[in-house]
Amino acid sequence: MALLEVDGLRVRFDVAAPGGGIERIWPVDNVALRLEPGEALGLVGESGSGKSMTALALMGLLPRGAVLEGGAVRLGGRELLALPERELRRLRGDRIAIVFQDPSGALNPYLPIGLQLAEVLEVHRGLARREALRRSARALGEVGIPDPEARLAAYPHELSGGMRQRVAIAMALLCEPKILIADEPTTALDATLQAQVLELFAEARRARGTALLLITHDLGVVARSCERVSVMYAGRLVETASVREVFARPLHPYTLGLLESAPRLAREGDARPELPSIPGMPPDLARLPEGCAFHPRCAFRGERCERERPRLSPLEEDSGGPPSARRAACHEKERLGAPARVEELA
Amino acid sequence: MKPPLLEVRGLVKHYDAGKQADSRGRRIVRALDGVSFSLERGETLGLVGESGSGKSTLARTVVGLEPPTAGSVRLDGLELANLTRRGWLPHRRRLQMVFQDPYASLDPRQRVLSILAEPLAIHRTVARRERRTRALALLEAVGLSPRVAELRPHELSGGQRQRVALARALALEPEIVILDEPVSALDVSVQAQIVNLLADLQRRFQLAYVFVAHDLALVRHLCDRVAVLYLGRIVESAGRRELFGDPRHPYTRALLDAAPLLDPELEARRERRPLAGEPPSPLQPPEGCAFHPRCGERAAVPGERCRTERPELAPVGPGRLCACHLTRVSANQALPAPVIRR
Repeated sequence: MALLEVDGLRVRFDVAAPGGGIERIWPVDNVALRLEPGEALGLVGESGSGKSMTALALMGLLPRGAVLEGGAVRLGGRELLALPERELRRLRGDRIAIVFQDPSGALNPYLPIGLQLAEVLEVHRGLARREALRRSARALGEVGIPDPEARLAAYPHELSGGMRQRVAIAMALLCEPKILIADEPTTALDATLQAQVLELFAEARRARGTALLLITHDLGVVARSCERVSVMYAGRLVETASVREVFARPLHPYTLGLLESAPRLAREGDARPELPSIPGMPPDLARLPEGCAFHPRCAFRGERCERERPRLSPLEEDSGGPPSARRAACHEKERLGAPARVEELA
Repeated sequence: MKPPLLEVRGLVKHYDAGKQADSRGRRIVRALDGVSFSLERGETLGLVGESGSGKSTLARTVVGLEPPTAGSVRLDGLELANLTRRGWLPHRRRLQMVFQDPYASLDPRQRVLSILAEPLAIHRTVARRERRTRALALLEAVGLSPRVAELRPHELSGGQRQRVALARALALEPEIVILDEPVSALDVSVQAQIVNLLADLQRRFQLAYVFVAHDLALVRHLCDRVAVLYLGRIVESAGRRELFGDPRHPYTRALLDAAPLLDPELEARRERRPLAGEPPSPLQPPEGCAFHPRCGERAAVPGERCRTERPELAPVGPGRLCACHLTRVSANQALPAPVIRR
């Protein structure tokens, strides 16, 4: 049994239409995810792809105005979406914790960080203040904060952005959650700090078997930190597979485009050819194209792509395989997946 | 000898830190602390460094948006650093800047046509009745359709807005364009379009670029030479191939180690030694080499030199400079074996 199973997740938003009136959009549309114990899954997409909304939905933290239209979220076999808020709150921060891009949102500016960390342990673990503070200091030390006992008294504004993110991570890991969700945790950080934070996640996985759902727009972060990856476009999953498979031979033209269009640090040679780019821009969710939402930007599109929305499904050769087999929502995926065609495509 | 197109010498920019004083009561943020570089026609110089390194301050000071505290900025041998705002005006058209965030750099109330015509009007380079034609030609040059001319910035996508910002920078036919993180606010799938456009415009108009960025792969793709900044100083500068193939400064090496490779196989084999600590505050730069508290290689330098003596930026090979006691030490002994990176 998977640790976390998400099926058919669908979130609706009612937004004001430009000409007046209300438009319905689905920032998350039929999203399914599986996370095994100790595994790291990357959820990749651009702004507006629905990756962050997916995380909020499965934590039961949807913003005002968002409606959960359907879906199932099972944590260790237990259905979360049906739980009363009280029960959910007990699970959040304990079994499943989240870290955001901006740690300020997770920290109360008026309280010393020590008290905020200790409170988590008091609430979830029933520890006394003194013991909770002792463990909080240890947790700060584990995320590389120097002189942790002294730092317990610091207020968030007295710390640098990188330090605040470490505190937020220490807080998320305090109760040794089974799952850590990290939503663009390093996007606001410099490269050397990003490497440090990714190392912290790797350490949590090694030491405690924490599973990681890493939400990012950066495929480089996924290549470094994840075993599997799911790619979202315009609210829908377009591809899910092992990281090695996706980087070796993506099945969806959007994934292929993202990989091809990024300049590489390790690429051989001195030539600097034009980068293969994806034409156009991500669509407006209120005006999604018919059929496949990516088709207007797609070099592989056929007539069917303009009419019929492709379902996320495995290649013919993999059909009947395990649920972890690579899948893509593309009518042309057999073409992209065929080994003989790869050189031709490149 | 003909002077370089752009020559920056000993540029210093200090800010008053207001109420934040350091332990000795100084209240100065040393954003730039003696930066020198030059730029030739048609060339791209990359400026890399983390937040607080001074790279954006450098860009803003060079184009005259901030007056320098000291130092010299020469354009074709002509000193710009001590010019007043008015004195700058005739030179402004030769040196343009494009910012990271096109949402903030374009006037939301103006239509694209007047955004593009405004610099033409201010500098009177194009007769009034020809301004519209010229604006439409600029739109075409950056790959936008003429109907964009009638739109306002909020009606454009991020990529389109950055194209408009580029068109505006090109309106006065500059020789140098300073690009401050020009693609980092854009959607990933749109970045490559703008990167290609930058390369295309450079070829067509013989532009020289100063490209400020934190994405090393992008810098490797676009730049001919690269300068690495740490705490307001250049710690290493070299040609693109030398810098990426054989980085000499421990900080450059750390930046390259931290950069993602977009390849799970390479990542799995990669040695992990993340740089410890964070960049220090420019309010309290460390004594000696500013990088020494984070440096993993200072044990190789005899004595306390890294802690007490600031290494000067000095030649370490043809066309390359490095500010590190280690490279000075090894220049006198044997050169260290190049680090095999990939």
